[in-house]
Amino acid sequence: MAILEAKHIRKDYNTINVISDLSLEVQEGDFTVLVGPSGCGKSTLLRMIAGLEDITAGDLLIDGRRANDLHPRERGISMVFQSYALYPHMSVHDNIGFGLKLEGKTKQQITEAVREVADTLQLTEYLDRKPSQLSGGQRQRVAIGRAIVRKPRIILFDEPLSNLDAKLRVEMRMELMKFHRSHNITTIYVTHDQVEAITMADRIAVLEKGDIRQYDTPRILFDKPANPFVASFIGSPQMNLFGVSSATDHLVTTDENAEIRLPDASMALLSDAAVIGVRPEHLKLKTEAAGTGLNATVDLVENLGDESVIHLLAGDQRITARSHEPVECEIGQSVFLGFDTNRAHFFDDMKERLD
Amino acid sequence: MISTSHVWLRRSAKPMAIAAIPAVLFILLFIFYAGWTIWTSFTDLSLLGRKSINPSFVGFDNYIRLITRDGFLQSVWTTTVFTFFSAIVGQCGIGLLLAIIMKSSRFRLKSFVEFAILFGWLAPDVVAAFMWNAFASSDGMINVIILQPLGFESVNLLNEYAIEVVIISNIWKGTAWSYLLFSAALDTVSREVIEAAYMDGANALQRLRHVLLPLLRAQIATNLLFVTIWTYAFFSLIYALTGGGPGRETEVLSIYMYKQAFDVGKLGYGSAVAIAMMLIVGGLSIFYVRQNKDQTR
Ligand SMILES: Nc1ncnc2c1ncn2[C@@H]1O[C@H](COP(=O)(O)OP(=O)(O)O)[C@@H](O)[C@H]1O
Ligand SMILES: [Mg+2]
Repeated sequence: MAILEAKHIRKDYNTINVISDLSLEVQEGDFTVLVGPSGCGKSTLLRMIAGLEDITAGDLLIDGRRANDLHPRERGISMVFQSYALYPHMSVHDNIGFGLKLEGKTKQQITEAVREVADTLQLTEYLDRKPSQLSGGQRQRVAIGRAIVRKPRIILFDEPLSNLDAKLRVEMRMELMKFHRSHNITTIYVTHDQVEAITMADRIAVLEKGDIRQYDTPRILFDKPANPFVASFIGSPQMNLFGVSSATDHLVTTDENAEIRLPDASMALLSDAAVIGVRPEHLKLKTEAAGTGLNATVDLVENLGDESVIHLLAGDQRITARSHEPVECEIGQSVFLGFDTNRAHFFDDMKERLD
Repeated sequence: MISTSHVWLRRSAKPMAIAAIPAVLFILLFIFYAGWTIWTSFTDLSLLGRKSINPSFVGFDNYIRLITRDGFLQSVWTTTVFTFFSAIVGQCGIGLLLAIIMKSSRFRLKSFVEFAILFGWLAPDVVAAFMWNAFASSDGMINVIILQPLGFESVNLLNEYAIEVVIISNIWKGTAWSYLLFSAALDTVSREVIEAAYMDGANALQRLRHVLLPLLRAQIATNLLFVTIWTYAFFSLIYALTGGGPGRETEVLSIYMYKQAFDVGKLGYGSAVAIAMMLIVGGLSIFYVRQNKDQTR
């Protein structure tokens, strides 16, 4: 059953419309990620779910009950903030126990609950410290401890890793995944980083301009992106997208004057295609033209050790290819980029996937 | 070895020496003046008469008189009441409250309120006194516009409620400073921390008490220090408004000292009052600074 349901949610800040009509269902126990470019409304959506922001129109249901006007506590929701937002003047113990104290729990009840949480998060020996005396990872654990001590139904994260350096980010990511696996609390997690989204999520909602463009498992988002936006947002380096300007049986000319040869392509698909997408790793560099593909000139080769990223130009079209084998090519060299049409993605002129 | 801790003074000995001359002169002036006041407080120097030329040393007589006679202690009480209500509760408290409210207010309301607050601050004391006089006297605005139409007899608020009027007018006059200071301080408080407290279930009062006030403790202590010092020695507005009256109801220490020194003419006794004032304010300052240190320890 869906633990949380957003129905036709709208959000205006005074006269500015940020989210116009958004619907979303979150399943119990899932790790759901909201991902999208900066400014697309992820935080706004999360804050409406949290109860920090009014919902202009639409319904928010938690366990089937309308929650629009409930306080975060009545919603059974807690949140881990980007800055962790620990109370700097309180000890770790008091940070975690603050909510319980406000609830009127006795000292002993609070101490017991805090100890239990601290145990699972390996914070026991730090309970007397102030947040300023903790490392970044420990602070994150305190923030999580504060969020789970009252046993919420749903826990929200707003870009909790974006302030950390690359190495710590990977560590924290793994800790969060372990935490989710062991506690199984329904989680909604906001990030602008698609790698984070793909590695952590059970389901991902890709947002653009206040709208959900696709809501699926990471696998499906990657293999069958519903539209060019999702196609280019998920995956790194980005998928190559070719806008079709004219097409004959065997040749597609793109908006940027690249020419794609299609000797034996499935014409039924292609006849409607307005955009063709090919991931960099699905482009094969060949010295001779053979099969489906296009001619291009090598512009730059990035050698990343175990793989190479090759930047090419075809007409005015910039293309990226990726190869796990060492490639021998020189800048300025003409090559043929072959690909398998089964692995290519086709979208119609309404930006919908053709399958 | 060259010390690097005072890089801003290095290799500039000559210009520094020249620039230091006026500073040294002023320091001497301060020392001379303080010394003169202290010396005077041990004499019976007067404004007029024989004792103005030939004062004699009277030891601690002036200081003993501070304690044994009513006037001084009564003024200490008046000043303390005045300072507590107008500076600590009024300026500091209202300033903080307004800063918190205005932080989340619409731009237009905020500009309007800020203009109103700053107006009181920028008005010269004498002008402010004139305005409050026009408000509170028996044919003033409050009587004419509010009390009389409601059928009350007109009262001279400056007579009946002198200390209250003086306190309110000083709140009106001085809240801007605290408001500005706390507005700036609030900008340093992380919005997410306050939101976290909200998520934890803290209501507005609990957020204020358990989160905001502890976070602002250093700034509040500093501001209390400022406004207490200023208010404890405050003179012009009260003097222009009530002259210390009616009777001695609003005779704060500065007015008491002024009257003793220049109306009565006892400069020696007036100096002793000034020194005593200084000691009181100094004691309060140490108290606040200690508070501040405990926090940042
Ligand atoms: N308090 C606010 N007032 C007006 N506009 C806002 C406010 N908060 C956010 N916005 C706008 O809403 C849009 C979405 O913001 P946000 O949800 O923070 O994006 P994201 O978290 O995806 O980066 C942005 O264009 C932002 O400028
Ligand atoms: Mg955001």
